[in-house]
Amino acid sequence: MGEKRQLILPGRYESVPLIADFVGEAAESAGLGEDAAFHCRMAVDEACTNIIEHAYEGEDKGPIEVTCTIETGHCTIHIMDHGKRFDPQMIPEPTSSQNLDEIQPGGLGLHLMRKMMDVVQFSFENNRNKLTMVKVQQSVIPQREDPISEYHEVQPGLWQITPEGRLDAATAPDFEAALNRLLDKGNIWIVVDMSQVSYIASRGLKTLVSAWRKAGDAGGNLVLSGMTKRVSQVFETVGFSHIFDNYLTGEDAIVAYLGTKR
Amino acid sequence: MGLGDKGQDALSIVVEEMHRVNLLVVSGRVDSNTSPKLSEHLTRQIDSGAMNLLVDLQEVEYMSSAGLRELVSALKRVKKDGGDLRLVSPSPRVKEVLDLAGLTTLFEIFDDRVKAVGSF
Repeated sequence: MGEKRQLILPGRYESVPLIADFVGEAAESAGLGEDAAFHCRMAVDEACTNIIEHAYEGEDKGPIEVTCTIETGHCTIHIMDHGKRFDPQMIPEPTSSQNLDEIQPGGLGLHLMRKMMDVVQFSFENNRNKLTMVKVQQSVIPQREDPISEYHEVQPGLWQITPEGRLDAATAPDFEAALNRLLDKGNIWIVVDMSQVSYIASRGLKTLVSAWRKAGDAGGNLVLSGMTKRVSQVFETVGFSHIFDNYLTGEDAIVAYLGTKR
Repeated sequence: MGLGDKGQDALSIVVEEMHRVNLLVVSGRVDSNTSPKLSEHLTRQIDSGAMNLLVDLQEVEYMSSAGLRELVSALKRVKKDGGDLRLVSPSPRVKEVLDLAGLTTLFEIFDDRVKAVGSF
């Protein structure tokens, strides 16, 4: 699982730069490079500030616990607090509108975290808020490859779709549109061939989950095949690996489908 | 644990009152520790009737959303009175944060102090 580092500090503002430095150093140890390490520092600063302001609603109300898991080119950060349960959906996304009155500075920190990190995921476990953030070395990710999302019928009634490259906020909408075209035509048995996906960010995960739900609601299923190790790590990190049926190869997925249909 | 250079001292602000504009030269870190100090200076300027503010960010090594928030709320106040708050010389890091926050369209940003002062 890589090297793990932990830091627990009181939830007060003067702890924040110390936690940010701790995480920045971990990111550098993971070989993430200066820019990515800066993004980690800053995202953690924003996260801890939010914890003090919104979860604890003040200083010295409880600790902030941080763990960093360091792998080559890959840093996973968990931040835990005992404060008020945090629901990110309560925070409006700031608009990039030029209308001053529409700017809601409250969501800025969260907005920056999402811009700077590859994965930002909130959960509530054992009465604690748990924030998971992942940052991946940029050079291992090909810049802005469009997921072409070719699909075809591999068996009568079974469709395979093959996104390529990086599935993130920029590219996921195209992929989502392709999945929706399939689903809207009543094609509810879908294999997503993940073998050509180099990286998946929150937006890509959301797209898959929502398509999986739609297929399931219609009595079908959406399964995954051929995930690379890096991509499957992201699924594990955010706890999504149990949601999907996941096959080593597309053939395995087809065999499983034929089994269900028989 | 003392505040040390991670506390309020990590930020310093020098104010220069000019003919048409008041210049705030900010240096150090603007984060949740130090943003109250920025807020205090901006508020003091606006309360004393200054509507045209120029914030020099050249020496700011770090700015988190806590700092952005103060700049946005000061901008809102001076705009109401027909004034403006403009920024000069943000470092590449700070410029990136302004970009990601979607604030580069909101603030007029200059890379030269003389031009910035002249813009008022």
